[in-house]
Amino acid sequence: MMDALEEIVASCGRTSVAEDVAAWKARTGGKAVGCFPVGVPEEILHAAGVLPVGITGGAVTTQRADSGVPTFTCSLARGTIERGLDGDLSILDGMIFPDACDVARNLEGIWRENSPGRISEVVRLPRNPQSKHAHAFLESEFERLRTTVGEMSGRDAKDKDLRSSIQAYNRNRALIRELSRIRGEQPWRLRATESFLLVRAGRSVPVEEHNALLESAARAIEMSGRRRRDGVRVVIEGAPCEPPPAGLIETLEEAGCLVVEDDFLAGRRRFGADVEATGSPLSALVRAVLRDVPPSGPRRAEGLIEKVRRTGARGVVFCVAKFCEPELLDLPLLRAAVERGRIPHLTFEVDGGMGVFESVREQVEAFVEPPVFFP
Amino acid sequence: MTALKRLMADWYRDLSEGEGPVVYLPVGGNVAELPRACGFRVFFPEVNALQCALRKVAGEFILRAEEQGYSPDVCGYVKSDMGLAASGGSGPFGTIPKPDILLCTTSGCSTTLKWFEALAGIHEAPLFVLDVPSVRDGAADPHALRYVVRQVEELASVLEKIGRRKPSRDRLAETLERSRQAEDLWMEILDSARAKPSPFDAFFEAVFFMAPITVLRGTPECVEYYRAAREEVRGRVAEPERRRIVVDGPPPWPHFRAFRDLFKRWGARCVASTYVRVGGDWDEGFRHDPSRPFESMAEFAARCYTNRSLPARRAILEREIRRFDADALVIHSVRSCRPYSVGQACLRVRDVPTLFLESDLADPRHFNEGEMRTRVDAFFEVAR
Ligand code: SF4
Ligand code: SF4
Repeated sequence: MMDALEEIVASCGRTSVAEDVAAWKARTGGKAVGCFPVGVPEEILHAAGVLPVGITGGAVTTQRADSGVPTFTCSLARGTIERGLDGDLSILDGMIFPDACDVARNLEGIWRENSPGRISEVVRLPRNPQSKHAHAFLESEFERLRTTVGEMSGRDAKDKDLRSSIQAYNRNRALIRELSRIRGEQPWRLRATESFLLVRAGRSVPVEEHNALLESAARAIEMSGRRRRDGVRVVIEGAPCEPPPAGLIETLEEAGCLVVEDDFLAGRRRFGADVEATGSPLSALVRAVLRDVPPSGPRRAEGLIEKVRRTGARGVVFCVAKFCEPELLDLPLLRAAVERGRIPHLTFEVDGGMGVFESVREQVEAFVEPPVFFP
Repeated sequence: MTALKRLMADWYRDLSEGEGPVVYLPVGGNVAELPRACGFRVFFPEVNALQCALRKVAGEFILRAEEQGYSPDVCGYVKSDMGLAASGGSGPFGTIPKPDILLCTTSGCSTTLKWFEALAGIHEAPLFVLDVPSVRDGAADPHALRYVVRQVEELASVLEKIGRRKPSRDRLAETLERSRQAEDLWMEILDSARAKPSPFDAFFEAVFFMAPITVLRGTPECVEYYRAAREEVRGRVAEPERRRIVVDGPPPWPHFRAFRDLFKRWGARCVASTYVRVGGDWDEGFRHDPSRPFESMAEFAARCYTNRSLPARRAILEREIRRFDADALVIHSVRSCRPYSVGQACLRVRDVPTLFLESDLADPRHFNEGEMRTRVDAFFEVAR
């Protein structure tokens, strides 16, 4: 029999993104805009009455060679364009791409070429946060986005609207941080797959609705009498942008891993603390972005070791999206660091179309077998 | 060619034997004039990787890097360089000195950012990231340009500390003036391809001719080189041409000759190309300007070809096809370079026959000569 938490999680997958968005549009008459990961400030869209739709990947369902996205590109990018043209994402009124990687930066143009009449924007996030001038730049960038979105929706995102959107998103992030805390401390009370599905459910509904879902999940976790489960504590790293399919996470857990931390769906989790909801809201958002820039390269490797120590993990599982160059370029550095720290590790290259996980299961079972961990 | 070989050999010699602090820079939208004016010797890991590819040693280095865990699906330049580092840093051109600082501009690609982070870790040297926001259409946004200018100012004080030499106004102005002169000459050479037949191949030759403006911009040698090159091109008697093509994309360095010959057989002359704009570009009369030192460096950084949106790139292609009266477009897509290749298939220009080819700029394994020849032949056969 399902416990209350399992029931809530099962409800997350009942409707598709397209169905959620269609229902919201019918109800409100508003516009829905896709936010490519990682780093579009959803608060600005929300404050203008637009539904920000988180793009989280999935299978590439259509095969359009003319979309312009080559086959040696992550399935997230290919899928977004192909599904946006004539698949389930064609319900979107536009897309916003952060220039987080070389692929994402070009997607804006591809979308614009292929979708005349729909919004296509790029948000440029500072890559030199040390600069004293990064703040002014990003604030102007967010201001520009505020204008574009306002023109589109016909409703300006005023400062007071933005402040209340920030509050709603702060609440969201606090609830998600709470889920992470529980998983880090008592992973048997909330499985990684469950937490992934709960967080992902926020991609296609307004944040208030998502907050309600997370609150009920928190209550269900509180009430549930799940028994302590044994397993090997691991950290999953390498998937902040394109997450693996839920089936893969599930397989890791079934094969004996207790996932105490992961970096899935980083956009919803990128701030370690609240964004201030007083003063100039754009400026507060900018401060938070500059404060919590995710580390990269050698600094990220140090952070990973720290994460493993802090969570008491016994191993690291790298789940990297196939063809994702930024992740694949960090990977040798990360692996070298965990090897220096004598931390066992395992790597999977994943894509949204994966559906069979037998070989994953076998590899994980071999990985968590005692000899690796108790030499 | 011999003048060029000598210049490049001197550049490498100065790097291994010369004096003064060393800075590593990417090609795309760099601000080489500033460190140069502060007395730095300037090294480009990408140019070195390119040389390795051209001399057919990149393949081994790439394998070496893959043995170390680099994926087959990442940029071959990075792997070639990582393989080189793992082999002790000694390439076909001697040993490259360690950097005193790495200075990464983001206009060319974000891949160099990861590359430079890794190099900064290996050499335990500081990394300065000069963030250049991408340009959507037309000119860069004023707020973005302001951000770049301010960072160049911050950079100047960092370089001053490391190089222990202030970039005097005069030295910087002199360096920028030399850049400007070389740029004028280089544009004149590229423009000569408007003649019919064209005396100059704006891809198969230009990819070599562009080396000094990439590596030595701001030096007297660079100006000298282009002055002589212009005279040489002026004095040429143009060979007959049968086709005038515009090429988008980088060349397949490890198979350069084979690739060139596929087009030569058809008498195809390239009259304009985008690869010559990967550093920055001099369209609409843009030049480095000693009277606006920081502003013009910032603008140059923003104008790098891959820093622009795809619709903006298409507009450039359309304009070049018209200006140079070309009759076909060749798009060469390379796996290594996603800033170039992602979306490249959208760049077809209406009413202009377009040939789409795929291989790589560094990794020799991605070049299939037979298949390529079939496609090139079929294209020119039909379009005859
Ligand atoms: S998954 Fe990787 S390659 Fe794809 S868009 Fe995200 S960061 Fe870029
Ligand atoms: S991705 Fe392209 S621009 Fe970047 S280093 Fe590789 S070849 Fe050069």
